[in-house]
Amino acid sequence: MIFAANESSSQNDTGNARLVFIVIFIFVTFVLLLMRLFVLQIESGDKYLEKSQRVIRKVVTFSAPRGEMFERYFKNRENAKNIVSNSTNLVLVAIPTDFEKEKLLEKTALLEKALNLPANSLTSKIPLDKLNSNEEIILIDKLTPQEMTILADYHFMFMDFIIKQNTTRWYNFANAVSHVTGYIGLPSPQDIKAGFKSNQWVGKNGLEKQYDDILKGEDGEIVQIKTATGDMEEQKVFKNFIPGNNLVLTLDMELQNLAWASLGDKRGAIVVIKPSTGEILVMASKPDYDPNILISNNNDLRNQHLEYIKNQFAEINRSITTKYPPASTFKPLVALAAMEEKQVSMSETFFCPGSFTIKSSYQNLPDSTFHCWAAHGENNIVTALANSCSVYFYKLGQKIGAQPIIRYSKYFMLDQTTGIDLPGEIAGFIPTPEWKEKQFRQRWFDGDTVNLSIGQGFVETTLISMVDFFSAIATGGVVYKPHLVKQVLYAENDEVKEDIKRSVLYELPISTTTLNTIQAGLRQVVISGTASGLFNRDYLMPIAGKTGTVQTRSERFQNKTQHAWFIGYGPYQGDIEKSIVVGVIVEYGVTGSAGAAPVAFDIFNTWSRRLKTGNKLD
Amino acid sequence: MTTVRIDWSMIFFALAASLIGVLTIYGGSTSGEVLAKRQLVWLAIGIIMMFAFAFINYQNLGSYASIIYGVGVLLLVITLIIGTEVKGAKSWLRIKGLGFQPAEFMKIALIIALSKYLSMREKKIANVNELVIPFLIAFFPMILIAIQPDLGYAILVIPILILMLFLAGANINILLGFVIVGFFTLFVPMFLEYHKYIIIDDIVQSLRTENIKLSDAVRILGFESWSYIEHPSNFSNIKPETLGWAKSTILKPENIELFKKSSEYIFDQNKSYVRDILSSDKIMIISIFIFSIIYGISTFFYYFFYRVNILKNFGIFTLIIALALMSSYSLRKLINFKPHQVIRIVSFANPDKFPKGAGYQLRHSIITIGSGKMFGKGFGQGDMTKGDVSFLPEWYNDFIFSVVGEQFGMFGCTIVLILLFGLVVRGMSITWRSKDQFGMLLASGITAELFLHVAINVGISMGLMPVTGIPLVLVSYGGSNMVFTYAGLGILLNIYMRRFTNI
Repeated sequence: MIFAANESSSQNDTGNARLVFIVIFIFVTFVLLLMRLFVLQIESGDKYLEKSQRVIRKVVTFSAPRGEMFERYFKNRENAKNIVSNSTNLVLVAIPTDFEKEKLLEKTALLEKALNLPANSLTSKIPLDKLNSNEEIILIDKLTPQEMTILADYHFMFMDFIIKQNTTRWYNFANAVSHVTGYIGLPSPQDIKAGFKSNQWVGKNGLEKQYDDILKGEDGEIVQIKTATGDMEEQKVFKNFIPGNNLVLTLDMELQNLAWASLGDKRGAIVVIKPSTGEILVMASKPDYDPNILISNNNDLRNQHLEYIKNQFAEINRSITTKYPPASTFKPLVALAAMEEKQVSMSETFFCPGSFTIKSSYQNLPDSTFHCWAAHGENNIVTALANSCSVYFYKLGQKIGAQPIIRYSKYFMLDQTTGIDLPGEIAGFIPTPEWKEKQFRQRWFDGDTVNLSIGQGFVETTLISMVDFFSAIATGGVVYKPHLVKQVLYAENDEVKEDIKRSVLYELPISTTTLNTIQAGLRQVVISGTASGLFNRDYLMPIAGKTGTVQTRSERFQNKTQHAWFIGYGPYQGDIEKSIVVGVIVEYGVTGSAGAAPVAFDIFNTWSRRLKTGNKLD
Repeated sequence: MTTVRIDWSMIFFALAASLIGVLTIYGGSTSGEVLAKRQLVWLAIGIIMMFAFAFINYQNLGSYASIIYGVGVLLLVITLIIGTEVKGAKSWLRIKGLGFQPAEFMKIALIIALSKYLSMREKKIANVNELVIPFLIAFFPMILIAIQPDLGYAILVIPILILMLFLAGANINILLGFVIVGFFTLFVPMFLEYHKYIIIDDIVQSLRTENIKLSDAVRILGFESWSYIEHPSNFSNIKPETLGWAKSTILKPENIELFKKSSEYIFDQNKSYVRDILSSDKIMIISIFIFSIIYGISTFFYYFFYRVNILKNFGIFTLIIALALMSSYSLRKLINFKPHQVIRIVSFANPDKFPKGAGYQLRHSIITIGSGKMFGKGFGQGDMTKGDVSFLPEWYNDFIFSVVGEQFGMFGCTIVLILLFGLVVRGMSITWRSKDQFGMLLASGITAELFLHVAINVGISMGLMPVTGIPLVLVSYGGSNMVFTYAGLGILLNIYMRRFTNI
């Protein structure tokens, strides 16, 4: 055990002996290391090679929160209504292929124990036929902070489970703005071909679809690393998600709710626009749907709702995706065309006996008779507009012919889309002789011109394009492109990323005489004409407008055979910056004055109050 | 003078090993390219350093030994004050963006200082009293490095010291005594703490099926729960902040009962007489006392009965035992070990028991090296390190040998070992042929450092030794190590060149 010091040997010999000892030690170490190398690499090399190749790197995406939407008065999150918001919660997810055989159920049972949950409360969520699938199974859809603490403490045991941030979208006004916001859904096969991931939300309609690129953000990626020994080593956030940017809409939720409520059970649409900018304050359409149900997990409820939407055509935004004959709301255009073409003057009158007959061009055919809704007697252009005298416009139309009407309709882009930032907008239709020739192999009759001059027959327009036409009258010819998004905000700090500026859709030089005459006519509609009694209240701002009633047939709505229009603006000849144009269409209602104009009343009423108080006018 | 003055074989070994290192780093991972390029720069600086040290007469190093040593200590002190923290250790000194590890410089400085001192005391070194100053010289910087804390370097210093003392002609009995005392001092407390850890871990595991919250509470308490295992009545003294939310759980009477029962059961299962003896205060104090008395008696009889050598040796034996027991006992009482320290030291014995930390590194290191088989997976084909995420932490540094093994197999590993051991053998040869005691000791110190680096690092990579952060000289990525290793080689060349001359 103990070396005896050999004191007799010389110092040099001892030194050499010690050096030899050390050299031997070095060689022994070298041989030992080589032996160990042999054991590891040659003897058990195959075992370790197999282990080293079991390394797994797996990429799991976690979705970025979509951008939110606010109403037009957004300054900060407190002062403006949140139209579409997100609620975020943490979800515990298991992917069966992440687990070794049979381990999933075992570990889930252990998890129940760890979280003090009743037995089988989690294991029952795992379908036994999916034990080999790589689909995500949601075990807990809302993790509490306590549960998170426990999971963090037992990090090693429950590494295989994935904690994901799940964002649920919430449409705060549900049905009231469903046609504007639209909704999201899982991608269709075409979307997947276009590069969407199968578990990624995609805007399906409305602004959600239109601004999908801005709203969706960028999904993050977690890289899961399973080590050579088979256990989960770590989850690394490989790429952090980028949240989608928020939108400030041009909508005024107070007016929107009012408009939506005013429509009641009627089928129809309301659009309110600021003629000075083209901003849409209100866009409501009925029947509507609840986007919250469409994105919910409740399959029964969702299918039921989808069935309802299909039956009622509830997904159709009736202000941009449906075209109606404009009926009497078209008359201002005819009047405007006639006056601008110098074919008629203020003083010129036509007599209305209650009907109008065109002699047939062919001997064997009967004459065509067109009726007015009352016998109005002598009318000039203002009273004709006020009373919506059809005979006046029959005669006017016959006098000026179809061409000026068609030309002016095209000037006002009634046969084109407005380019509003919503998907699904369709263009109206203005018939032309060429078109009729081609379509029916028939020439253009006088009767066609007569029909066109009262907005019936083949002519069809969308509500939004008619509202634009009325804003042209209100502004004196300038129309801005209607739009629904005012600002794009950064997701991080709600600071303005982009201000959407107004852009001119069309600008027509309308002579002042014409403009004053038409405006006076529309004003008379409200004071003494078809809409009198509805809007001439003292407390209301001065309003001008036009009613319209479409003759229609529908087997479904046998009793009601009319669509009702009302388009008006106010204040009449007031500050254009503080004006609004309101367009209403009610399907299968009664006449325009009884069916549509009252719906607009509440909006004008609210706007009048705001004009007095000076609030919320911008 | 016709003899070859420069040891070209040594330069060849060093350069070949370094280039294999650069190649391995380059092929290790996608991030390896940047590291390899930097490593080449360090290699160039290292070669310049080597020739610089080769052409300054090493005797000058001896003359300035105290100044070099002083600068090294000063740098260590400065590092402790304004150093940069890397991986939890304050071991880097950064001056205008250039960083280096003063501990690397200190190793060379310490070897120079020890060589100088021991060569001055050549004739008297066999005397026990003469060992006090070398120990002080070695321990002072060692403590400074240990404070950083960098245990790897600190532990490296002790074997270098012992080896240099051994070659300087110190008394073998005394050296062996030191080794035994040192070993006991470290081993006994570790052994006991490890047993504690195992028992607590088993209790945690057994409670898991009974009461998962209670088991969690015990796990949080860690070593503190030991005092409750011994005295369950102490439960009520648990500080709320240590347990937090689990306090109310663990303090329920039925839980205390459950804990007591399961800890008694686990204790029964893990019965160990060695542990009982070593951990018993009474037995330890009594045996220290008895061994001291035996030493006293045998020393007394040694002088009384005509100085019989066997009595003296027996006396020294008992003294060493008594000292070992005493120091291990006092260390155990003085230092409060943390579970992770214990795990770090003992995990190499049972890496599967410790899924994270040192055990994790070890398991993956062995898989990495083993999977290379005879000729490896090929350059850049390492499954364990390639790609963005390496499964072997520190692959380019402490575990580079495993990466060599994965890419180039046993063939590559053997070549690296032959090159590095070739350096060591050349170093021993230079030690043998050196013309004076100072040169001999200097060469032996540098060679010992090389050898220890290689043996310990390779031993760790292959699971023969506990994980301590020691790089593989010349092969591992790292500037300071590269530069100062080449400086050491330069000194060796220097001693070799001047072996016949008195210049």
